[in-house]
Amino acid sequence: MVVKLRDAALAYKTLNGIVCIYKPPGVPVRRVQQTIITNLCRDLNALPDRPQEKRIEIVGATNAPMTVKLVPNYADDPLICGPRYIQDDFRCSWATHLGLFTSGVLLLGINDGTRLTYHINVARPTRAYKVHGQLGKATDTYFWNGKTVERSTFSHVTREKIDRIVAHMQLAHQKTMFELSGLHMDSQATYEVASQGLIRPANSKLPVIYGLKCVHFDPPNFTLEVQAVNEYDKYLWTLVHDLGIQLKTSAYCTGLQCIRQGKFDLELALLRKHWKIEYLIDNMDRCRQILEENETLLKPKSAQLSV
Amino acid sequence: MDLPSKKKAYSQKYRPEWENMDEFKGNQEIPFKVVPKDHSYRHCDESEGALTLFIAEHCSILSVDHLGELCKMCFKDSKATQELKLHRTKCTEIMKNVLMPHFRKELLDDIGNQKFSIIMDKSADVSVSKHLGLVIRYYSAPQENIKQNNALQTTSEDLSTLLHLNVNLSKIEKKPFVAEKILKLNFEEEDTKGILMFIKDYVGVEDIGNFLTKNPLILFETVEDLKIRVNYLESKKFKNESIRRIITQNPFWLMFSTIRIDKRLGYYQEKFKLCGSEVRHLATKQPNLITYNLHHIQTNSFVIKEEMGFNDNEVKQLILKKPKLWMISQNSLLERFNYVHNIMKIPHEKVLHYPNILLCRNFKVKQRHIFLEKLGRAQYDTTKENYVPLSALVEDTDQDFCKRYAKCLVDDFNTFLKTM
Repeated sequence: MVVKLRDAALAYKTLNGIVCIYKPPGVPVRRVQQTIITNLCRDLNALPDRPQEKRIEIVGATNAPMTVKLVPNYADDPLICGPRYIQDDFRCSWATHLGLFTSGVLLLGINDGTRLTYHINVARPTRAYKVHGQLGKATDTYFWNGKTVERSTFSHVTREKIDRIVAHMQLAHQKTMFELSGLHMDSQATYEVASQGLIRPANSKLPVIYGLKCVHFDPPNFTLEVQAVNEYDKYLWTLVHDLGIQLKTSAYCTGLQCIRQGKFDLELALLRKHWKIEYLIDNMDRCRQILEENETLLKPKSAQLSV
Repeated sequence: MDLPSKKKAYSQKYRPEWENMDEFKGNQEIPFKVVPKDHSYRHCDESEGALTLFIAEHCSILSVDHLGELCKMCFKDSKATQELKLHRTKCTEIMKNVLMPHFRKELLDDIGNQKFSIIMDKSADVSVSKHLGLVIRYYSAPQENIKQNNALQTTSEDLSTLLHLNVNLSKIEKKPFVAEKILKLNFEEEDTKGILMFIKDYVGVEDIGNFLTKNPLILFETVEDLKIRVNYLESKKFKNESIRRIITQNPFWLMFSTIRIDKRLGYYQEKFKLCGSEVRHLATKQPNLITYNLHHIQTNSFVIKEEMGFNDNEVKQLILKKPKLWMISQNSLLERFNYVHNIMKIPHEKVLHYPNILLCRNFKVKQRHIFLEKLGRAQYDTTKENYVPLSALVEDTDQDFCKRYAKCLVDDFNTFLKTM
């Protein structure tokens, strides 16, 4: 699966595109970026590269035949001018920012791939999250790192109750989706758009939730699966908090994991131990294939939600 | 009409024989002569020079007419300014005849025989006066560092000596202060050669490049000092191999004077109640610890003793076993111990038995522990069956870990990692 690289220059040239990374929780995105670029430099410098340049020296008196010598060029020696590949040689950007405590799929663009990340971000593909929550306690930040502000009983919560409320929340969000489309609610145009299915929001400001489902319920712990656009970590935390209130108890978020971004899912994501050049190039290839197969990922043709 | 000719026709012209006539003899030499004033030192000479230099560098000459007056007006109490006489004519003359020769000489001396490049540009506009600007670019040894010019390195014999020793010059030049000093160094001198030979004796040919990369300033010590510092170690009954190991492992050791090293060794002996051979063992095992930042050592000692709760005897065992614990950041140290002791419920004795677990990054221990826990295999008690040693959480690749302790495939472990 993973090919062996033979030439550093060739490897560097292929490093243009996006990679799909598994971001561990508790590590900021910036640090992930930094680590990956440092690793790339380390691996590239370890690969065999072009031979060192020679310097031609013509010596001797100008009126007599002069001798031509080849001497090693110190200006090309890695011991003098430093390693051949340094961190400044790489540009790197993310498609969507994940919060500090969020783990999961992170799309990073490397070199020319930075443009792709921009297009992906603008195209607003849906992202799927697993939101882990716990009943019976509320914190001031709505997350496990906050101070406890409330405790309550939760024995009355059953699977049916949680399902009902979750379905209700999903419905409310789908209604806002049409309100955000900019169309008049009572018009024929809205009817035609709505009859075809879900649509993506017109701007990037307001979070919209398309699907909300409770996938695991084992009191006090539960897990929600959320498909959304324009969401951010704190918004999903408050979702758990709201759910707790509607269940007539309290709840806080214990973990957040992004399991899908557009067509890029967990299966593709590279674990921390695999952040090495061979794996990254292989991953970049697979990401490129996905982008070629799904053109709508970069340039959505209609407002219709396809991914 | 004829205009009268303006030219007067003198009939008589000057004749040299007149000079011999008696009546003209006294007038022969015209007494117009520049009488040099007795040019005594004036207080304002220096300030005039300085003002001129300012004008030459920063603004046009005409403004000096007013600058001089302004100085006189503002600094009434100074004698130098009251005598100040500096207007545009004098200013120009000072520039031409005093400043220019001086700076030209300085520039020529600085360039010397080395190569330089010339950049030229001329004014080609309608104005009458034409300008030709010449800029030369050259390497100035006392002013710039290596980075400015690669040509220097191709010609410098001294630096190529260092290069043949495998010294990483790119790392040295990151510290401009050090690079500047190294540039001025003469490798032909006996002292420098002596130091190189001395280091080679202790470090070995392969490691000398690494040694000098880390500590290039050692070349500025004297051989006698280095000998004294090694002799001190010998007097303290360090074996020859230990001395070699100490110097190779810690290139900065020889920079410390014997008094400081003695103080440091004494500090460790007293603080951890070590006997002589134990101090020697510690210094040989982790020479960097002895010269480490003492404040850091103190805080880490506090963390290990007070916050982690090891007693004096255990602390002593720990430092002899893993001196590196004192050199890592206190926050991560505490975080790792907290996880191992409070979440994994590993008692102090077992941590003491395998202190490596505190040197491993926390996420590694964490993910393996949680995985084992999910499988129901997190059993760290030696007296019970299915015992998993602590080393399993730290050492080996994930393949080996899965095969030997988790008894599953690596893919399962990877899938598990993607749920964290």
